[in-house]
Amino acid sequence: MSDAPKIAREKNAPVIEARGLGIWFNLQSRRRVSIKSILLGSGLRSDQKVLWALRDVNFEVADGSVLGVIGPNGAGKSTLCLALSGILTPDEGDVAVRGKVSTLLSLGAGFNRDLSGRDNILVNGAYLGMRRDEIQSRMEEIVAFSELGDFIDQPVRFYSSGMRARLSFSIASSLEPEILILDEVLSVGDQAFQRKSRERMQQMMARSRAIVLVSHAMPFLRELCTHCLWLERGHVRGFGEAQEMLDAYEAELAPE
Amino acid sequence: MNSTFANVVARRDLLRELTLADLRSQSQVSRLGWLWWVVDPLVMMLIYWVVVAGIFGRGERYAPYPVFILCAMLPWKHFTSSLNAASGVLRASESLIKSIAFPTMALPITQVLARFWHHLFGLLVLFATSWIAGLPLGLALVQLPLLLVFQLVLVLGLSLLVACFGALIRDLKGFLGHVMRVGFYLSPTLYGIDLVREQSANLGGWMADWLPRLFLLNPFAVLIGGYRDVFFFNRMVEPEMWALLTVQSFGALWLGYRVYLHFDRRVIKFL
Repeated sequence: MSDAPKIAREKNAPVIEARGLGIWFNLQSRRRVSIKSILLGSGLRSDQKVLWALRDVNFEVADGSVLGVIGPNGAGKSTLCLALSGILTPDEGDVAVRGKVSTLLSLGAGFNRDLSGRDNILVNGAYLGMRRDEIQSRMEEIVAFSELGDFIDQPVRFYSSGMRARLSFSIASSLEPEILILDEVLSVGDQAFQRKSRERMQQMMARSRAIVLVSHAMPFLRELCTHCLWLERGHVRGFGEAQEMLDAYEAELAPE
Repeated sequence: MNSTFANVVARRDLLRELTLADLRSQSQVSRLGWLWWVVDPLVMMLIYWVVVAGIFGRGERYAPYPVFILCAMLPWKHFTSSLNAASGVLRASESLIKSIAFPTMALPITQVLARFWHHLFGLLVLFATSWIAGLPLGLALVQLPLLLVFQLVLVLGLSLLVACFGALIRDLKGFLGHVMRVGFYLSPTLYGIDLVREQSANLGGWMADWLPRLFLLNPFAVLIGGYRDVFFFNRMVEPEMWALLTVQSFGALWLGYRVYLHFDRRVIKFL
C-alpha cells in the first residue's frame, strides 16, 4: 500500500527496512501562517526552527518478526508509525515496506456522522483501499462482528463512542494485511467485545508477516516481541533482541 | 501514498464512494433533501431578476433576464461552493489523513464532483426557465457537454490550488470570500461582455481594444459567454473562445495538480 520501495528488492530482503530515516517538523509551521502575516512580511521567514522528530534511524524487520517500539513520550514513535504506513514521506534517508500495510492508528476517523453505519462501512473500506465488491462481500461479516444490530442502519451521530469504536475496529480488522502497524494497543468496547477484539487481533497477527507495535505495556511487549527498537528524542538508543532491549529500558526507567 | 494521477485513478472506487456519501449526507441532513439543489438556483435567479429588472428596470437589454442571469449564476455557484469546500477539506479531515494512507487529492476532487452533480440539477432549472421564456433551444445545445467538461477541469484545477493553500494558510477562507465577491462583479455575470465592449469603445484610445481583452483573461468570462451562446443566443461559440477556454481550463488544472503534488505529503505536517 505504500509507494514502490526505493531500495531495490533483493532475495530474502527484510520486510521493513529503514536507512538513515529522518523526518523533521517545522516548529513554526505547527502554527500555520495567515494572510496578515504574509502581507506584513513576517510569515515567510526562513530562519524557522526545525525539530527532527526522527533522525538517522536504521533498522530492519525480517519476515515473521514482531518489532516493539519503546521510548518516552516525544521520542518519535508515532512519527515512525506514520512513516512506515506511508502517511509521511521521509525528509532524509529511505524507508522500504515490502507488502500490504495496515494500520490501526486511530479508530473512527473519517466517519460521516450523517450516514448510516452501513454507508460508513462502504466509505471507510474505500479509504482503506478495498474495492466496492470486496467491501460488499465482507459487509455482513463486518456488521455481525460489530454487534451493532439494528443500529447499523442508523446515522452514526446516534452511536455512542464505544459503538463507533466497535464499528471502526470491525472494518479495519476485516483487512488481511501482510504488515501490521499498531500504535498503542487498542481496547475497544465493553469487556466481552474487548475479549473478541483481542482474539481477532491475535488472528491478524498470526497471519501477518511482520508486526510493528508501539506500546508502554512491558509485559505485553515481552510476550509478543522478537525485536525492539528503543527511540529517544528521535534517535535510535538501541536496537536488538527484545528481552535484552526491554531489560535495558526497564533498568533505565527504574528509580536509582 | 502520493496524490499522483495514477494513484488517484487507481482509487476511483474511493472517489465514487466519497462523492456518493457526500451527496447522500447532504440530502439527508436537510428536510427538503435534493430539492435544495433546484430551489437554490431558483432563489438566486429570482433575487437578481427582481433587483435588476424589477427595481432598476435594466432587464430589457438582456431579456429574458432570468435565463441570462442563470447562465452566469450556475457555473459561478459551482465554482464558489467548490472552492469554499476545498479550502477547508484537508483541515477538516486531519485525523483521517493522519491515520490512513490514501491519496489526499481525492478529498478536494470529491468536493468538486459532488457540487458538479448539484450543478446538473441547476441546469434543469435553466432548461425549464428557457423553455418557459420561449427561447428556441436548438442545435447550439450540442456544445453543452463540452462546456461542462471545461468547467469541471477549470474548477478542479482551482480547487486543488486552494485546497493545499487552505491547509497552509490559516485565514484563507475569509480572504477567499472577498476575492470571489470581487470576481463576481468583475466577471460578466449581471451584464454581458458586449456591454464591456461598448463602454470601452466609449472610452476610446487603447482602452477600446484592450479592456475587453483584459476581461477575457478571466476564464469565467469565457465560460459564461459560452453558456449564453448555448441557451440565450442559440448560436455556436466562436472558435477563438473555445481555444481560450481550452488553454485557461487545462492550464488551471496543470497548475493546480503540480502545486498540489509539490505540497502533497508536506501539507500533512502543517495540519
